[in-house]
Amino acid sequence: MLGVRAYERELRPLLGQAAAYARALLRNRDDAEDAIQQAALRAWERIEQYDEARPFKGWWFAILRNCCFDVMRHRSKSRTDSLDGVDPPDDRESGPLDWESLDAGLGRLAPAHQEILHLRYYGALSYADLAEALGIPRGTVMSRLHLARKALAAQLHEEDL
Amino acid sequence: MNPVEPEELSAFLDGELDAERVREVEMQIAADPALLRAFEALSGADAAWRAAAATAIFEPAVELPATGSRPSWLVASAPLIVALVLLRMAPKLIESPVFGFGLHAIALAALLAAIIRLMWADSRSMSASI
Repeated sequence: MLGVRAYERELRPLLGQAAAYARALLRNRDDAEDAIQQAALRAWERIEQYDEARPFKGWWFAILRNCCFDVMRHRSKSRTDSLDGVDPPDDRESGPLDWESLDAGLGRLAPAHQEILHLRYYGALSYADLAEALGIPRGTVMSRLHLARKALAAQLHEEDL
Repeated sequence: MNPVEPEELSAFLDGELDAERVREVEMQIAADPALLRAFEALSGADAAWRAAAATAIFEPAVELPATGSRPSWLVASAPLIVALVLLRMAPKLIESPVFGFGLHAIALAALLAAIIRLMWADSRSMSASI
């Protein structure tokens, strides 16, 4: 079982990519930080369940993914509960950012394709990590990622026309 | 040599093929202009998407559990369990009021120690910042 120092050593290099992944999913920097904070603590609470023979990054990103979904659910509930119905502020600036342009293309793909491309491009997960995070065989990762890339290329090409 | 499957082109780009298959794919790309064009298109798009995704990276402020503070509830609760067992067994095992009182005192001290340990572990569990 990983000790706290080993856990921190494994986690620290992932935080930048985790931030990009959560930011793309939640489209809000503060929400992304909340999700990462939750994932950091939730993973530590469940460290006994982590099998060191399996990829840590994939295991941790599976937890982060669930934390992002929790934040989304909480956010939509907050919006429903709020009296004025105003969306929480986000960090979007006046001009489109590069990652937002990519995300706009991703947003029109099938959910399974969006999911694998988010993890691959924002989280920089390897095939082994993707298999662990999504709970699918490596062969499925390979074919799904290829189809997702084709769909994204077609989508962005369509937008350019 | 098996022909290159479309998804293998992706895996080749991602560095996810074994060394032998990498050599085979390289040879086929070199020999087939259509395959080369397909690979170059995929490679160019991939580089652009990776660069775009990288602009979303930021360093999040995250707090981790402090070193050595992880609450092991079983270990922390052990004195509490011992205290409860002693309190339950004491009247049956020792009839002397003096020994009985002493045993109760030890059990209560263990109980207090368990409570303090649990409170301390809880207060330290989120105190180290990255």
